Amino acid sequence: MSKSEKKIVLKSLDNEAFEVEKAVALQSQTIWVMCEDKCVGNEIPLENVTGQILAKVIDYCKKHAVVDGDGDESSEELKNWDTEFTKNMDQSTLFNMILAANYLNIKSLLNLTCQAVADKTKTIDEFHTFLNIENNFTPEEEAQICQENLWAFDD
Amino acid sequence: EDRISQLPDSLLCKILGHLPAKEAVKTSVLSTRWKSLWLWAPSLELDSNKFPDFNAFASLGDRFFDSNRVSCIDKLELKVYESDNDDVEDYVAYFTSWIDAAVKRKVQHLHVVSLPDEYSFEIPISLYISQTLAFLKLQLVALVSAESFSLPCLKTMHLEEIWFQYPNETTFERLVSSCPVLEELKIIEFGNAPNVFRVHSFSLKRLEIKIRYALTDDYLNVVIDAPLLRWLRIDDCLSERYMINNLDSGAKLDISLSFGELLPNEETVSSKRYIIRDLLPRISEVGEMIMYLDIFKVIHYYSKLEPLPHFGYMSRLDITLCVSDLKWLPTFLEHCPNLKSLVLKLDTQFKEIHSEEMKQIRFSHVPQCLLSSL
Repeated sequence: MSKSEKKIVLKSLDNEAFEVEKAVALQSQTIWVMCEDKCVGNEIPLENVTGQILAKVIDYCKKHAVVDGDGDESSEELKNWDTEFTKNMDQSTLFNMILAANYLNIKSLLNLTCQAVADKTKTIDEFHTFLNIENNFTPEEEAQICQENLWAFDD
Repeated sequence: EDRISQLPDSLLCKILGHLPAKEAVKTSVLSTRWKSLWLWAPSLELDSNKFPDFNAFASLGDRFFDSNRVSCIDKLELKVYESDNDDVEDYVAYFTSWIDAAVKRKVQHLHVVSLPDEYSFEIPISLYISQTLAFLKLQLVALVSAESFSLPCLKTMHLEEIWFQYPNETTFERLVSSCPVLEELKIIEFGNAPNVFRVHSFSLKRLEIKIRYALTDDYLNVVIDAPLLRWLRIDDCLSERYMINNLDSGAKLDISLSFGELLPNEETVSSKRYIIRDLLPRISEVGEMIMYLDIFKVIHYYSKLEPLPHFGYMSRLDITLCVSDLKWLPTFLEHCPNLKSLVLKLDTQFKEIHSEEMKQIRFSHVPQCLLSSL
């Protein structure tokens, strides 16, 4: 395999091009399938992901391609890196990261970003504020749901 | 602007799967859209400690595992701990039906802890033929024998304090052999095991065996036959015999072993010399080793009876030893000609180190490996 074949170009929705190692990009099952199909050349258009988000996804894939070993320390280090990675993402970035991870089919990244949303919404009030969800229940309906799951609302 | 709510239900359910069960249930009051969303979450942790009573625990589980729902369950954790409530005895029937349901719904990651009335919960045999399970951790449950095992996706299996129900010489061996992609196996204390405890796998890379207290008075023979093993940890003061096949220079060994005695002495080592003679050449080809004081003592006393093999590939060694074995260390190091790294730890638990004694320890010569490569 020549050097150029080891690299692959990912093109974002807003036409930003990223040259990455194949091993990095193939963590995405979607890209894997596209490469298998061979109907694309060295350049893969990703119509659902912006350059800003794709850059973050590639950072994640680079990190996870390098340290995939069997040592205990490296997996610990990777966990810390993951935590830092999502720590300061705002709602809108997380939303786009979840969509990108889902579209690109990168299971571990989807888990990580969903976990990050869950971590930011530990209480119902946090859910209402972080997700800004409008409660459209009548008071009666809401009371009934609480009654059905009494134990969950006892505090 | 709430962007998260623009996600499709399937992705919202994924987020809910990362919440503790109680918080996930609470999302049902967010809005009409969220009312039953949590029931479709692909993962759930059901922990009896987090419920006020067993009824709440059981009814939530039954709702989640409603037989009309067929969505996939990726990850399930079922934990029941001791409780003053008598109802807890009923948990066995609930657990069985929930695990059956989870297997049908293609569970990939399963963790079961069953503390009340230890080992009374027998793992349902539907689990033994799960075609999707990749991670399995069982604690304090009973494993029954079955006609057939088939776990084609299982990569990681942790068995902690397992009771082998209706012991059958081949149950455990067949279980392990039925996992063609198993890479990690951890076995921590078990009871009622077959006399010959055999780990036979062509895929296994990491293996940990810990046997520190006896759940039964079994005489145990451990046989490990796993040619791809890269990391092996043995922490065992009870088993009488170890056979390890096919361990090569790419492997790391972390070993604390004393053949049935907490602290071996010359007499016990002498009575086990043939077993040790079988074992030593099989572990002498590893590249890295961590040794604890019991196995170091065994090797020390054994060297007075028989010649030691050479540890010719060993480049890294980490030894915990007690003062009485320290003087013999240089002699042992003569058997490790290619050592590059040596870490020594003194264990003072069995004997206080007096400064006087420390002063008396003088190595008469410097081992060859220390001069050349260390």
